[in-house]
Amino acid sequence: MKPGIVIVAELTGALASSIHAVQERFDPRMAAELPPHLTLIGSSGMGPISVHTATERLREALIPALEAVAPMTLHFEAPMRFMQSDVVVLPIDPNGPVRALHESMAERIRAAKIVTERPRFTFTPHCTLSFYRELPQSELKDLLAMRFDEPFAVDAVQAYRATSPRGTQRILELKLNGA
Amino acid sequence: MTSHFRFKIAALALALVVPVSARAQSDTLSHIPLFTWRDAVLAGGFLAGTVALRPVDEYFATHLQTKYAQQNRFFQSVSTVVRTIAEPGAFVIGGSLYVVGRASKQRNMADLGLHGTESVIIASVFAGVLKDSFGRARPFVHPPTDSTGYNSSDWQFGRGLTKGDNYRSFPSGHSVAAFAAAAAVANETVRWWPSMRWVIGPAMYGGAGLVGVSRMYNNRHWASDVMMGAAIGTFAGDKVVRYFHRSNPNSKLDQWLLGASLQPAPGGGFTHSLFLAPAPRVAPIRR
Repeated sequence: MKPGIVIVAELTGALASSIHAVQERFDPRMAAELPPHLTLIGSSGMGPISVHTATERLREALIPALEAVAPMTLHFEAPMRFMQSDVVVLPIDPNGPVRALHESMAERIRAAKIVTERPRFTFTPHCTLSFYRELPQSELKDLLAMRFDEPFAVDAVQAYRATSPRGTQRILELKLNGA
Repeated sequence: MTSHFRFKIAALALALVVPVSARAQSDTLSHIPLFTWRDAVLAGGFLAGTVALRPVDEYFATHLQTKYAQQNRFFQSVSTVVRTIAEPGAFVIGGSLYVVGRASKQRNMADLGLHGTESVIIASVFAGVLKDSFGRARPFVHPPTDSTGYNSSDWQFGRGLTKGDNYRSFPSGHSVAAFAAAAAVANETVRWWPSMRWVIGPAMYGGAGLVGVSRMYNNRHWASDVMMGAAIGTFAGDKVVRYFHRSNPNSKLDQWLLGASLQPAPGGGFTHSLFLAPAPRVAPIRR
């Protein structure tokens, strides 16, 4: 992973296990980096946070953004190639409560003058199934045919710091406590 | 305090006083009003456009949020580029033009940078007050998949101030900045190259329009937000240029900011000096 801090919502339960199994089959390198997750800050919408940001400073910025956000239920759509690339993702609807959560966190991070990279794309949340590998057509076809329809809950966010290409460390977990 | 620095302070004080006599002189010239009946027509047109777009706000939002449109790498890249050119680009480009124009003694360039930046600042402050006051929900707050579906009628007075940026949709700030810069550039350059009016105008306003569309594409604004942003920006750019070049050509602010010069200092950096005589004026083009 590129050095930086990302904020994600980790998937849990049976859905997380089945997605992790798919990731291990199609892209073991990616599967070893982080548990299955949705990236909320650090990819689309807002680039990775500077790796030098202190954990406490990040926590102080995020707490007010999360205070009013209630846990939410989301569901994945059919797998697709992300922006016509070789990366295969499970997209979710980019609008609604998950976008509001992203925008609130991004607003607080900017207000706290925390350094972030510029994003290349507007907020397009997804769970990545295959990132590093260029899949052969047959494998790509298999992957795109998979379905993960069951709804899943997001009730917390986690921050991970990546300091080297192969090292990631969870530095923060915050619950969504809003009504 | 060095004598050189004392002289600069004295020169600054004199520069602020001298325009009084210049203003007395300008009083003898015919007074050119800042606002005309054409402004009322233009404002009416923008207002009508904003109201007319209200019923189709959701139509545009729906069609720009299809998976096909959103997963298009080209659209995503163009949207990011034009958004960045508008903000923070408008401030960076305007400020750079002013500094380079002053340093290289190119008055027109400094004039363009100064008035462009002033337009963007004035328009942005005004738009910021409206954003806080109207408290309109951005399109992504209630997407079609929400139980209520798209809701472009979610307004609440003062909510922009209390609930944050997700409720500061109306008007579009990026559109305000883009149209303010476009109007200032179009109005300044038409004084220098009147024959280029129909080349520069469409290019600048077309670019600003693209910024507005990019904000809708990113689901940050409704079409009517963009229309109102275009109105505020256009008026700000037009009025700033008109005020400094026609209604009040001997403005103290302009004389101070454009009559002074930045020059490379012997020990590095720049020195800032002021001319006591009024800065030369470019003859205004009557419209």
